[in-house]
Amino acid sequence: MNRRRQWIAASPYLCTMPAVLLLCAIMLVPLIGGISYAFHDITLLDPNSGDFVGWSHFVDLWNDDSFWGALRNTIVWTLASVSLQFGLGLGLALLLQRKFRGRRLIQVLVFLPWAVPSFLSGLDWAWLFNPVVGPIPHVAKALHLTATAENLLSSPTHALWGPIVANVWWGVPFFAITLLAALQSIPVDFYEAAAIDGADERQQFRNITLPYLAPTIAITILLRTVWIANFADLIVAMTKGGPADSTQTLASYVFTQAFQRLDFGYASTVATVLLALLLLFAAALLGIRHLIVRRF
Amino acid sequence: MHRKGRSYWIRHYALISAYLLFALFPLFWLLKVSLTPNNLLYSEGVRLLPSQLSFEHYASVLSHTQFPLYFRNSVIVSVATSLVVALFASSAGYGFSRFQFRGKAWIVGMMLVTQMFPLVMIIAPIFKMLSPLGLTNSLTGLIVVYSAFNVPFASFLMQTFIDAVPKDLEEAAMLDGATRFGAAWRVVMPLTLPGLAATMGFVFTAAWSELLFALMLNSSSDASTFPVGLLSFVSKFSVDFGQMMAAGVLALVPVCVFFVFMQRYLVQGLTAGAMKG
Amino acid sequence: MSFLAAIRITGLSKNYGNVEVLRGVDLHIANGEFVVLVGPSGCGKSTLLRLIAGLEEPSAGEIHIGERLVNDLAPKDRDVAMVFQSYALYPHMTVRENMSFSLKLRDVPPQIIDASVRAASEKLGIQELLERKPRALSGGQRQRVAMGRALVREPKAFLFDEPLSNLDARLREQMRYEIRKLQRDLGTTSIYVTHDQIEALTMADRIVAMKDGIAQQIGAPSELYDDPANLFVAGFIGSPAMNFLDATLVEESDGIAVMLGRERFGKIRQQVQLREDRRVVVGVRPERIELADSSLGLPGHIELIEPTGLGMVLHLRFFGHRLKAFTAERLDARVNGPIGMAVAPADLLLFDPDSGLRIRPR
Repeated sequence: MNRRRQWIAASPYLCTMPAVLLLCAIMLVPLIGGISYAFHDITLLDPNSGDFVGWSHFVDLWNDDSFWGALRNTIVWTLASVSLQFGLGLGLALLLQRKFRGRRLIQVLVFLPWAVPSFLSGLDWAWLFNPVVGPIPHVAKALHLTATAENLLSSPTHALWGPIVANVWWGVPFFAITLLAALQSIPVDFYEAAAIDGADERQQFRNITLPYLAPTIAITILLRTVWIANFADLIVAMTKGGPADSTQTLASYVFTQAFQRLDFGYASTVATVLLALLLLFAAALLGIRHLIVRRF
Repeated sequence: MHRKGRSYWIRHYALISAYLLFALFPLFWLLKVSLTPNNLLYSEGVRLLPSQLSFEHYASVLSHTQFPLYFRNSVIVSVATSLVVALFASSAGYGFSRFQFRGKAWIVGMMLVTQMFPLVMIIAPIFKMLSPLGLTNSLTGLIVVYSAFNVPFASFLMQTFIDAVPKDLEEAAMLDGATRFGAAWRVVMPLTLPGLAATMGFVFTAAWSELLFALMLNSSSDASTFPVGLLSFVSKFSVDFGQMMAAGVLALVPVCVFFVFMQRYLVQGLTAGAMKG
Repeated sequence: MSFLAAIRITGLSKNYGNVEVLRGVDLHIANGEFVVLVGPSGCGKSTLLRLIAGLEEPSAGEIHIGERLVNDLAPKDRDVAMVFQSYALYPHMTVRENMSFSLKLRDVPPQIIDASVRAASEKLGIQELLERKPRALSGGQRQRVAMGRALVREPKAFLFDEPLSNLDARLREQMRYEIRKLQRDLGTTSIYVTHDQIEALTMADRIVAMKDGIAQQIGAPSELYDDPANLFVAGFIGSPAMNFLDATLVEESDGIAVMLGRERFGKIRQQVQLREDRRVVVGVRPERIELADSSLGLPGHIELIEPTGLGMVLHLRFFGHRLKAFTAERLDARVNGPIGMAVAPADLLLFDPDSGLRIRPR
């Protein structure tokens, strides 16, 4: 193997090494550390902590009602956020696909929510939902959706929808941009052929647009689902997990355990469980995709 | 495509207007609160427009707080992070796009895994790691950490953009006398500039808004970024909403400006097929 | 002027995993020769070209360019220029910059670059286009710029990878002539890949007919046309394609009769090696079938007539066998009518039915 061949063989590794090394150092190594905390008693400000406790945190977790509530909420939070973000994002992308007057300006404006830092938008929306200073409770009352102008975020049954709305508001632009780009890459020929064959708008959408977008949709949804499951900022900013832990998701539970109760060990336990669940989810999805690809 | 009827366009504009309302109203509210004088903040809370406009919050944010410093720090960190990530992600994206190699699946998998856990989990280990290196309480430390967070997604984006550049352009360049690296630099990179701009925009926005690590890795205000500054308006007893919203509006400006230029390139860059021929 | 450069390829093979794309190809190209690699998709012709260019590594074999072993050399060090099927013009550079690129990389002084670019663009008639970007050019113009880019380098060899495939028929005809004339004027060794046998026949000094990774026959166009080595070459070269008929040979006193079933089709005068079962595939070129009034020669039945301006293609039936004939004369022939055919002995080519190899007279 001469010099040139060695160089050619090494090229891909040289290209990817900087990123890989950075990631290993800053994310993987600390991750291992973080997971190890789940097996230790790590309470900040307690000098006696740090002992190895084996699986006891996990046992506590199993018996912790708040954990199960958080798990349930995580599913609701993730499913609702992703489907709404996707649905509205797709709708927005479809609307923006065709040229119309003012499109450029409107395109910029509808993407603005993405630029707002998450906790700031959390506070903003908390403000909007607060009947003392925000219009939403009053509008809801005027529309007869609620009996009185109350704060959505104080309702133990429905408070989770507050952060969900804020999350959708913030996250739609991401889906819209990605889907818009994918939509614009579909060759026009397909639509023309379909139009000649007599397909109307809805049929064209179902038979051309959706199948063509399917791979992009799949990857984007997978990535965002994982990301949203881990996204705690809005919940912490708007409700801190309350009232009475009713809006806790696993991600926010990690946060509150770590920073309010200062129990890093237990927090790491919850986080480890969340990571494991998401790995299973990703593996399942890839497995399903593999099966589908094989079948067809 | 055939001409669309009037009812179509009416519905079209109605839907867009509805969405615009949804998207812009909270921002309008943000602006409104920032311009409402303190004494009217709660009493006039629900009104659409305050009876009195006041720039007192902006004035106090700019002159009585350390906001200018925080702002400056945020700019440094965000710009530097975008540049570092641009470098690392272009390189990795090029590797993913142009080569098939053993271990590729592992590296991609590893990058995916880094997106799968709450970052809270690694705050303490990272702190422990950076502290002896003197990277806590430093902007450099934040740049390093933020770069790591953003590299996976940015690499994926850059790979997509580089995929859109036909391989025979590099081959032509290599025959013309360039090395592979030379071909990548002179031919591929200029053609991925829109995509690069978009990627940097994403990274800039993410770094700009990050709160948790900025808070946890810094204890002094010298190295604090503006999200930390925003948090300082939350005291034990109350939240100074007026100033906070004013600071928030100020902080939105650079991102919005950046965004205005960037989002056009993002769509353009993601649309493959413009490069053929 | 280009250097004295022959290209020598010995035992060249290329595998992708288990797939053998190229199997032991030997080819010697003389200095200044225009060699065309032709064959159907997947035959390995593009792979061979890319191996010569250095864009891929061979699995076995050697490549010499101008007496230098280049196996381990990077493309940039081989001093060959390539014209791609997609032209591969740098979209972000003007035509001038596209053409100057290679010279700039070698630190050639700007005045010389200017002069070279000007000379090359004049030769190709693209002087007016120098400041335009590729997207503002038509297909034909882009093709010329791609050639200009190669010209400017004055390389040891030109490599063409199906450069005319994306052009319309009229333009292709014109460019065939221009490319060949240019190459003759410059005297640069050239290797040209195409799937179009007309390009091969009209442009080549020698043709390499390829199939399944093997060079099936290497020779001048007339050789491949008149004296094909096997069924593939016979059927690939020439349009309309050669007629192939399953026949048997019967020895007679003054020669060997070619029988289609029980019907006599023709006779050959020379001696050939006969198989035990006497089976053979006989090939006849459409233009070699003599046509006359139906009272003369073999009885044929006209099923279809395709006028081509130049002449006519007649689809004939002879006792259940289908044939195509071509004539430049204007015959008084009618569809579903009868016609007389004959084939001269020298125009009957024989092939072994199993191996496809040509059975040449002893």
